[in-house]
Amino acid sequence: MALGLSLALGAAVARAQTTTKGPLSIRLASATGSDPYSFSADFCSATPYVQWTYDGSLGFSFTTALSLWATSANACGTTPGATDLVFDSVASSVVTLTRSGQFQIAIANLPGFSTSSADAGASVACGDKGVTVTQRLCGAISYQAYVGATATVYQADDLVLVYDAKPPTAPRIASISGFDGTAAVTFAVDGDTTSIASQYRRTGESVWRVGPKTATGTVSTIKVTGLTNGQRYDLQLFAIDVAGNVSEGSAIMSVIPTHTAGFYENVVDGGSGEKGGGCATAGASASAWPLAAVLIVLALSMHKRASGDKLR
Amino acid sequence: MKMRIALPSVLLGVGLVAATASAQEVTAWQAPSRSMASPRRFVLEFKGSPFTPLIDSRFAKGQGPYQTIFNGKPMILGEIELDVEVWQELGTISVAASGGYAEIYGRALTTEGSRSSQATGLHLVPIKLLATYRADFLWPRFKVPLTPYAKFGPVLMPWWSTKGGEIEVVDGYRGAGYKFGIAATVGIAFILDFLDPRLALDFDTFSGVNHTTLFAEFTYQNMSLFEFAKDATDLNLSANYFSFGISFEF
Repeated sequence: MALGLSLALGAAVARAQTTTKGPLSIRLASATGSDPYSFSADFCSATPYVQWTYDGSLGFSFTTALSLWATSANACGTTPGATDLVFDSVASSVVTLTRSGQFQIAIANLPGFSTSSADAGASVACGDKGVTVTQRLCGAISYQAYVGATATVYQADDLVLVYDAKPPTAPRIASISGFDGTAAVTFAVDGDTTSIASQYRRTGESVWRVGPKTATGTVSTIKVTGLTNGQRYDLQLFAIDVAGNVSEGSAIMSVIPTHTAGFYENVVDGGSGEKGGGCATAGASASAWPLAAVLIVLALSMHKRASGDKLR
Repeated sequence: MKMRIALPSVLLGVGLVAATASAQEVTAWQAPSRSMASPRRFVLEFKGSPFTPLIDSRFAKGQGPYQTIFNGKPMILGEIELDVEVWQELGTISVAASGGYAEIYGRALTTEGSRSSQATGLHLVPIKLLATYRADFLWPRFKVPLTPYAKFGPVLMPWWSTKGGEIEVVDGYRGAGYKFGIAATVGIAFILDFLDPRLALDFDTFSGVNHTTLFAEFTYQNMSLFEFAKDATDLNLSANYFSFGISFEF
């Protein structure tokens, strides 16, 4: 599995005097491309591959290998720290010639889970619940802009990895309405929530059925369809964050879908005609073709005439 | 092609006017001569209408579905029409095509007959093919800035009814279909060139628009004439309505 990254790289060289994000480009790209990359405890046993890519000029003269490491510090810096997890470096010739490569990381071994403290100083292991740990994948390389020049460190953007084992707050159901075979639930969520899942059951039954799921954002209503009118149903919502953590269930709300008559049903039942919208569509569609053909022919002939006429 | 021909002729016209300006002052009400104007070929109309289909005409007064669901309020119909002028002698005869859209929403009824919070709506898309006659000689010949006109042609009108944001289905039948009919329109247009002929000429020079008009028209639309085109849902989408809009002849 390739993990999507975008790293800033910096060289660990004694002569380096500056860091730059100039034309030289080295990146670690993930399958998702998301940065920060949030993951839940379910991801702790994963050993994803991280890809680096060099987009820069072939003419650059690198003076060091590409060093790669993971840190739990707030910034990468240009060299790995004492508690950082260092990966195998990549020879500068490989960077120049192959321009891309990958290395593997073990999520559970990242330094944030073993050497740092988080959440009020408590030691955190991957899999712990209710905590959030932010770490970074870093890289650095140095180069000379010309022969004899002082080496310059290049540091690209790092990739932020967020271990998010803190579920979002349970959604709050603001209102629930029963329509024709449908229950419409209006809800409110906290800012960490990215989607809403639902479940429902007939009141009195013990088995829940999986309901629809919807992304939040501008949406604050979810509809459960396929219900039986006159039957009372229990509904419950769950909030899901970007890492996939699922909240506690909302309060269970009940609703009874009731039949409603829309405009068309009023037309049909009002006696203005026979039932048959489906037939109406099919029959009328068939008889629409001759008129549509006439319209098209006339339009084409008019266009031809208009093109050929002299201006008056 | 039109602008390439129109611009030199108009510029020439403007030059002639400037050369004779000292001898003959152009008064504000004077219409530009035909030689100064660019050729006319199309008319583009934008119009809006309060549109109330006669759906309830087959029901007892106040008991029809349109009155029940929408309280009898008119739909707002917006239409665009493009005329192609095919004969320009004593007036102008055109062939036109128009398309529009109208919608209205109300509340679905519960089994007890009270209004629920579920929305239900009716949507119409009238499409017309029209023959048009405009008595537009009144302005250039008699300096009367009015153009009476008449239109006639067939109408194709797709429609659909929604409930809860989806097409309503009753006993397995979808609330959607097409209707056919005819439309006849009479109207009168006020030529805005009358207010400032020089500005109108400039507008023609730079954009090719010969005349801009405001108009009002009345349309008789019968969607139940053709027996062969009747569908199973005898929804009467006929209407008699006024429209108001603006047109550009270019």
